[in-house]
Amino acid sequence: MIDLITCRGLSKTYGARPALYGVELHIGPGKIVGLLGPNGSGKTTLIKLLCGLLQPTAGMLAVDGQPVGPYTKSVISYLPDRMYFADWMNVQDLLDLFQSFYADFDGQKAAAMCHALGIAPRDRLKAMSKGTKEKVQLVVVMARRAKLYLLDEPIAGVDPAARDYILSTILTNYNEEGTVLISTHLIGDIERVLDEAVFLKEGQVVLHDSVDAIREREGKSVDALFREIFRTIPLEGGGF
Amino acid sequence: MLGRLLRYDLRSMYKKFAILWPAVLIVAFLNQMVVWGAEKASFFLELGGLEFLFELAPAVVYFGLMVALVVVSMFYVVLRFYQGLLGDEGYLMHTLPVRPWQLVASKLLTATMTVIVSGLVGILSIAILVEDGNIFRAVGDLLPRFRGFTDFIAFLEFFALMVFMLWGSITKIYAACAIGQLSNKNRALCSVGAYIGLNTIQSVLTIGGFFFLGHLDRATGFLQRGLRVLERVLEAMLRSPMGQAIIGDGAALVFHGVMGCFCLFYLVKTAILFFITTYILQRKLNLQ
Repeated sequence: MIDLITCRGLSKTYGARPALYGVELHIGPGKIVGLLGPNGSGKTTLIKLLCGLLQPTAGMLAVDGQPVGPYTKSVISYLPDRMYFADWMNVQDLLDLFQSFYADFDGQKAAAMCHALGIAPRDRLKAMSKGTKEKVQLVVVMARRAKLYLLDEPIAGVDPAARDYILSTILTNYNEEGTVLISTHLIGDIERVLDEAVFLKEGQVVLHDSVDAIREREGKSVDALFREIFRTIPLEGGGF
Repeated sequence: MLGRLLRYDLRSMYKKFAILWPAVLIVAFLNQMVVWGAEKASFFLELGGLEFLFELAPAVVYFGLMVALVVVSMFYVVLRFYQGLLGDEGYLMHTLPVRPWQLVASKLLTATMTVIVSGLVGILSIAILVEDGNIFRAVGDLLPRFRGFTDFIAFLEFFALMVFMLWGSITKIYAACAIGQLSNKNRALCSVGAYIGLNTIQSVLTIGGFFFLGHLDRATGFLQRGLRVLERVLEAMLRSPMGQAIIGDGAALVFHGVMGCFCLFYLVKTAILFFITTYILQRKLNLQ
């Protein structure tokens, strides 16, 4: 079976600063995978490389056996860590855009999901609150039957109720034959839904295994292991 | 896919200019009405010297709208590319299943249409403002004077040259923005620096090119010989009715030649800058 994501010796530097270094990663289809690491560990960089928003400095990268290009973009559904709407758009403009470019986009499903959120097709995106915009963005991403969902920090900076909505939307709408890669450092909230976990530390993969195997081997939850691996000892003492 | 991108970009243009374009024309028409009313209606003369306000207010509004038209059109051309492909909206556009050249071409064609329509709206508004129909009658009188094929070709050449010059200017801005985004910080400043650099390179290449051709011609005389060959070919063509229809008289021949050279120059310039922009977006995209 062809891996959905293949990275061999993948490196990316920003100027002289390395963000990813020699990443080896193989992820198959039909899984929910957590891309876990603290801020600055290279999670967003890896996702951007998979989307073609950044170019690797060295190494090889393939999605569904193909180098990054129009084909891989047609099978990836990407949720960025920011709003990507143009200020002139309303909800219908956004749905029309996705409908015309992605063959796997289910417009009726997206419209129904917006309706359930109380969002009308003529509502202007610019006039919406940040939380509502995030939900609209999640709706269009999850209304696709993509092979690979790349969700960059979908639950960061939202209240617990919104977090529940986001996770249930992901779980009830993703294509089960595809793979969901979720980057986060809030592991406690998503651990129950993960099949696999990838730990990134200072731009390198330090652990990649199934969640069940990690729990069995380590005798602790993924969240507890994460805290152990990435623990930072605060500076103590001083004259306070 | 290019058609779909164009539909998206044209919708953006429509939403931006849907009010401004008609507003300029309507206010120009109101100005014309006020001037006409001031000449005809006696009540303006009974306002004790305040009648100038009736003329001044619409004129000020019109002037403001014309300035807005120029500024918004210029900013629109730059910002639609910069924000649309290199800003946050780029996260949407660059993850669509299209090739980078299609993204750039869509932005270029939309920018071209924006400038042309804004120019036409500006000209039309001035025509409405300063004339009582004479300009429209003049244009109407001019059309039958087109002497068939040759004049029509000349008009097309002139229009094409304007479009190619516009493309040359717009793609230079695009290439500068694309070069600027390679930097990890101060991208806007780097884009301005890249624009100045591209301008300098263009000037050096143009002057250097003429200098080189002059030297080469003095050394080999190839230009003189080439012109003599061209002259003989054109003379032969002029002897046939079909050739005469295409080329016309001698003055038209010079005109076609000059226009052709300029068109070629700006097309080559556009192609080079378009390639630079597309290459960077494809191989060096750096959306941090």
